Amino acid sequence: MLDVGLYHYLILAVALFSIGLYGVLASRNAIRVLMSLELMLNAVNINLVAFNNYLHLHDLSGQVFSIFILTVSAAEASVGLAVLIALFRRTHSADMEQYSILQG
Amino acid sequence: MIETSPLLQQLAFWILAAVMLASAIGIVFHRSIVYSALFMLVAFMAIAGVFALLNAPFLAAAQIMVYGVGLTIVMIFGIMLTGDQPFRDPAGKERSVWYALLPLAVVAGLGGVLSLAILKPAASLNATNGLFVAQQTADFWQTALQTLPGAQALLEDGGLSHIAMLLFSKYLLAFELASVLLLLAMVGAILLALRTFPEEEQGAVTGGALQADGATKALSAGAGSVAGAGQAAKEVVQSAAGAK
Repeated sequence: MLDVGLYHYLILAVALFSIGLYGVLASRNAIRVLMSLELMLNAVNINLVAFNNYLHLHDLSGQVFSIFILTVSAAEASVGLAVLIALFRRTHSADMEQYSILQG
Repeated sequence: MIETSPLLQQLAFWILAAVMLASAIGIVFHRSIVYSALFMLVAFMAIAGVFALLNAPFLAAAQIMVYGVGLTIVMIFGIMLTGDQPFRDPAGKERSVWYALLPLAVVAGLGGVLSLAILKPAASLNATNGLFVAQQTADFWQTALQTLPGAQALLEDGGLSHIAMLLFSKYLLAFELASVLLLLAMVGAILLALRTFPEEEQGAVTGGALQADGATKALSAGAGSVAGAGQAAKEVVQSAAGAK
């Protein structure tokens, strides 16, 4: 049981993903929501690298996939922060509760 | 990990897992968003350590450079630009407890289902000595290093040349699309952050659109400019300035 195997990494990734999901759903600060999103993406990265290491070693495709996820998450963070700053200039707040412009 | 004692590997895994989960909880629950950003740095470093344990040294280095340094600095810039606010509810309008309980239920449900999906086959497969390689023993590496090109690449240079070959052959299209995506994200971020709207000046005049009055005025100004009637928006701005 104490031997570390694939399942330990998968369970670790589930825990990290769950914490990130809670942060996305329950946080009021928009920047904290962005940080939690990055946590979720990192949990997926751990899954990919773990599967690659334990089940798919005739090729390093899993590591290449997580490099792509790294790229996408960097793009997502920059655009997300730009949207946040545009919203901040409009509402003068980083509180998610103030972003109800679309309610009509 | 190749050529490391299993005991050391286990110790590293448990320490990294504990640090990672503790700092992830710190990101979500710490009162101050600045501390959250620092916890994010710690969590990303721990994840880089997990990558190193999983035979991905290049990814570990990329993780430190992109997430640990780059993203944390970007987030801290975001915090400085938007202010460290505690977000107190106005009196008489406290946030309902459901705002915390409902996400908790969703997360508990999803996490429980995922853990069951992982652990149930794990138990049965381990019992029958099935398909999955749950532990990488020394025997596993001895055969892998002779038969699997990925494992050989890991031993040679940490898989770096192998990853580069894959990026520029099998995944060339995805690689080029990723560069286009980065360019689009850069242009889009600059455009979003630099462009100013006429209603923003009006928002500055009323001193924050937090009041319902200011919010509706900003909304009507936005609707006017969308409809192409810039004149209406200008009038609203002027009337707001006059009211002041």
